[in-house]
Order: sequence, then C-alpha cells, then structure tokens
Amino acid sequence: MVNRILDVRGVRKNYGAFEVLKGIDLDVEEGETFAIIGPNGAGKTTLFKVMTGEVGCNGGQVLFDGADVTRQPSFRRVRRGMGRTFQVARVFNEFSVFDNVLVAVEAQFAAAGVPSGPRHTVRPGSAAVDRTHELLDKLDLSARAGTPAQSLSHGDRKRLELAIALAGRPRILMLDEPTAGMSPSDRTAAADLIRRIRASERMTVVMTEHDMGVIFGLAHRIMVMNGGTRIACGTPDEIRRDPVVRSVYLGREAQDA
Amino acid sequence: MTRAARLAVPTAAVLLLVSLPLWANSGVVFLAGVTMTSAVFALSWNLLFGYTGLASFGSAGFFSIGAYVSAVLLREGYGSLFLLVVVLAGLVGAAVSWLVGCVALRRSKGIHLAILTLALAELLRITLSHTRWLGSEDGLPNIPRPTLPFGFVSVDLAAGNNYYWFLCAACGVLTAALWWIAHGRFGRVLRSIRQDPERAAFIGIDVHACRLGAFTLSGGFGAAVGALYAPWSQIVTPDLGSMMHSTQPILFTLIGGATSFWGPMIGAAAFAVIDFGTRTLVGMSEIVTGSILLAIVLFAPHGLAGAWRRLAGARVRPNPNGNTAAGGAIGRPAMREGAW
Repeated sequence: MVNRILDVRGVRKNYGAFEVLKGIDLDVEEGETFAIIGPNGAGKTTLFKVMTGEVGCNGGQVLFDGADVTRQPSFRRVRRGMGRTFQVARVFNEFSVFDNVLVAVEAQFAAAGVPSGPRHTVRPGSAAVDRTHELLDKLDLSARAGTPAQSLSHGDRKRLELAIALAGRPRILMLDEPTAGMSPSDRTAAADLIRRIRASERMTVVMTEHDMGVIFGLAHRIMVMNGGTRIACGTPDEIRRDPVVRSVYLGREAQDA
Repeated sequence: MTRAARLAVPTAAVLLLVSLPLWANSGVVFLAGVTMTSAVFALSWNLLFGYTGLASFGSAGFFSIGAYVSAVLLREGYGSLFLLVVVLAGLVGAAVSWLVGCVALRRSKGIHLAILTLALAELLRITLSHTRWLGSEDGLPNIPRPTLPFGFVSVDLAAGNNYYWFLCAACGVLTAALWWIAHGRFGRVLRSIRQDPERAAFIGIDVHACRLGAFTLSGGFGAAVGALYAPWSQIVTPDLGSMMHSTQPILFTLIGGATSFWGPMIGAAAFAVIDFGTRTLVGMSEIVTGSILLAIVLFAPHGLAGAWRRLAGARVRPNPNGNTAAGGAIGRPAMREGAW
C-alpha cells in the first residue's frame, strides 16, 4: 500500500470577506511529484502557505504523514520533514553560501538530536561541515562556498535555496514556482535538477508552476485550481483531455491544438 | 592584514587598560572603569540588536537590577561571596528578562517592543525611587568594595587599584562569554533570524524560543555587568535605569557599528575619549561631542568598525573563495572556509 504523506481536507481560507480557498481537498502519495496549477489568483500560493504553515486556515485539516499539523507552526512541520522554497528565492543575504547551508544543517542536527560537535569551540562540528560540503557538491555550489549570498546570480540563489531546503532532510519538498523568472534554458536545467534530486533522495515533491513544459515533464499528477476551488485532478494525460480544464485554463489555443 | 597586525590593536588596548593605574590619575582610572562596564553593557545590548534584530530601549532596567542586587548584598556584608553575588545578579536579571520577553516578544517587535521595554524600565525606575528600603530617590550609597578569599590568601579589592584590575578581569570574562555565544552555533541562528525570520522558521528554527533566549541572555549579562558596576561607583541610584542610560548602549553601538561584535566596545571607548577630550571646553563640549557623533553617523554608516574594515579591506587581496578577509556581515566572517 502506498503511504499518503500529505492529506488536505476541506481547507478554507479567507482574507476578510474575500474567500481565497473554498474547501480544497488533495492528497499526495509518498514518492510522487504533485503539481498545482491554475490561473493567477486561483489560490495556489495561499494553498501552499496553508500547507506549509506560513498562514493558518479558517477551516479544514492538513495531515502530514498521518498527523494533524493544521495548528502547528511552520518550524514544527519542517522538523517533521517538510522542506520548502519560496517564489522569490529567500536566502540569508549576509551569510556566505557555505554559512547559509551550514545554519540549516545545524538546525536539522539540533532538531534531530544529533550532536553538532564539541561545545567549547565556536567552530562548527565536523559532521555538520561534511554534510554542508556534500550538499554544496550536490547542487554545484562548491565553487561559490565563500561568496556572500547577496552577490549570487538568480539561478545560483535558487539552487542555494534548494540546498537549504534539502539540509533539513525533508521527506516532502514543497516548491513554489521553482522556475519563476528564469530563462528557458535555466528552466530546463532547473527541471533536470529537480528530477535528479527526486531520484537520488526518493523524495515527494509538491510544486506550483506556471511553465506548462516544466509541469508536464515532471509531474505524476496535476491538480488544477480556479477561483479557490479544485476543478480537476489527475495524471498529465487526463488533465490534457479534461474539457473543463481546457476551457478555463489552457484556453482556446489548447483546444485548437 | 596579517595575524600579527590583527592582534596588535587589541593587545595594545588591553595593555593600555591594565597599565592605566600605573601612569594615569585616579579620575582617568575611574572613567576607564565606568567605560569598561558600559562597553560590556553595550555588547550585551547588541546581542539583541545586531545579532537578533530586536531593539530594546529598556536595557538599563536590567543593568539597574544587577546593580541593586549587588549593592544590597554588599551592604549586608556578603562581600566574601562577591563572585556568587555577580552570578546571582545575572540570574535575577535573566529571570526578569525571561518574564518580560515572554510577554513582550510574543506579539510585539520593532517599534512596539522599543516602547514596551522603555515603559517597563521606567516603571522599574519609578518603583525604585519610591521604595524606602532601597533608598528611594537617593539610592544606596557607601557600597563597600569586597574582599575575595582564595583559599589561604584573600584579596582586598578595596585596597589601591585592586578593584580596577578585578573589573578588567571580570569584564574580560563577560566579553569572552558573549563572544563565544555570538560566534558559535547560537550566534549563527540569531543572525539568520535577524536576516529573515520566516526563512529561519523554514529551516526548522523555533524563532520565538531563540529570540526569547537572546533576550534572556542579554538581560542576564546586562545585570551581571551592573553588579560589577555597583562597588566601582560605590553608589547606585534609580537613574541607573533611566531612559538616558538605556540609550547609551544604542549610541555606542551606532558609533562603533552594529554589524561588528566589537563595534559597541569601540563605540564606548571612542565616546569616552571624546567626552574626556572635550571636558574642558566649558559650554562647548556638547556641541563638539554632538558634531563628532553626527559626522560618524553620516560618514561611517557602519560605524567605526565598519570604516576600519573598509580601510583594511582595501589593502587585502581577495582570497581564492572570492570573499575578502575583511568582508562579512558580523566582524570578519568567522566561518570562512579554510578557517578549520
């Protein structure tokens, strides 16, 4: 039996009188890549925030690996194994690339109760340093280890943020528009990177994305949102064929295609 | 900069301070002692501001808690336990700080925290000035300097300049402890929170608990240094917890530079020198002092430490990793590769 790692039940969220999410249900199975798409204002990002704990919800439940995390703050969800990136990559600008990853590795060690090296010295423990180098290698950032994060290029920032998220040893990786603002060639590289990480870490991925090429190339299942509701959910082929989706989201061009 | 050059300035500063009673008059020695306590006090405040990104305007409240604890116990004759008294004062300060932090940090940051801490410190000051057994407005005078027993020998800190040297050592210990906190794992966590609390939460850091921890530590260190101050000045008054005293570490930090660990200490020293140098300019000293401070804030936005780093950085070749040895957010980047 496949483990249902993320289970969202009837989540509602309103900002004042405006209802952004009108009862969303979704479930994600361990190991799959699940994409959420929809036109601007569909509520994708809000749903993302509710799932990661960045904002609370006004109704419904979020279950992570069988446990109700609806009322848990984000740092507890992260410790349970939820990693995330932001639409606009957020890293610690004043830190070097190395320190960015190190602080995340140390946070994971502390949360997991792994001793982080001798207490009397201010130097980071060798296990944390090794793990940091390992992550930098994995994301091709080793050459930039000493660079202050604020002077990184856009693509490097995105990769650094991914390294920070991976440092938490997540079981599920939540990516909010991982290729936003990238050039077409960078998008392909980013998609390859996600594919590679997914394979090497056997990780569940939940992502929102605008780029259809990226989505249809990566996702096992896709959920389509419009106006705060779920209008369809299925495999990429099912979504392509779905007449409702075609009319509200993919538009006329897709129908003609 | 070579290692030798980097060590030269602090070594000279320490030698200057320690040898001061041998060649300077007692007035200068007294000012130097006060400056040392102010400097450590400013460091404790900057653990909150420069590292955690929280601005407290009531830090003098903790200083005065420590000073009063020390004053009362020394007047009651617990001088032989003075080291314990300092520790106890620190613990009392930390406990009060923890309580304040539990309430204040839950919802209020930024300007709200500034006003709330200011109000609580004022409340403490007014309460002290109406508490008769603590001397009301006049405070507690005639605080005896203690005698410390070390096994068979005992050191009378009241004699000669002994308390001054004790103060040097004690401030050194507190500074070392703060340095250790700021440069270790917890310091890195605090700096990540200052840069982006939400991102920090999403790497699994309990932002609230860490802020509370920093607030508690800051209050504890502030109180401990207050406890050292009491027998030096030999009088404590409610004004120790006044708003003017709370703004002192802020001023020192802005002069010296909040982004450097040593900034507040450099600021305190610079202020003391400026203040001392202008003492004879009757009626003019405030104008001269003010102008110098204004010039520093305008022309060195990262304080004296930032200006020094820029000067030093211009003479340093970038290392192979591409960062300059003098760059980095807080002081020199403590975690440069190759440092281990």
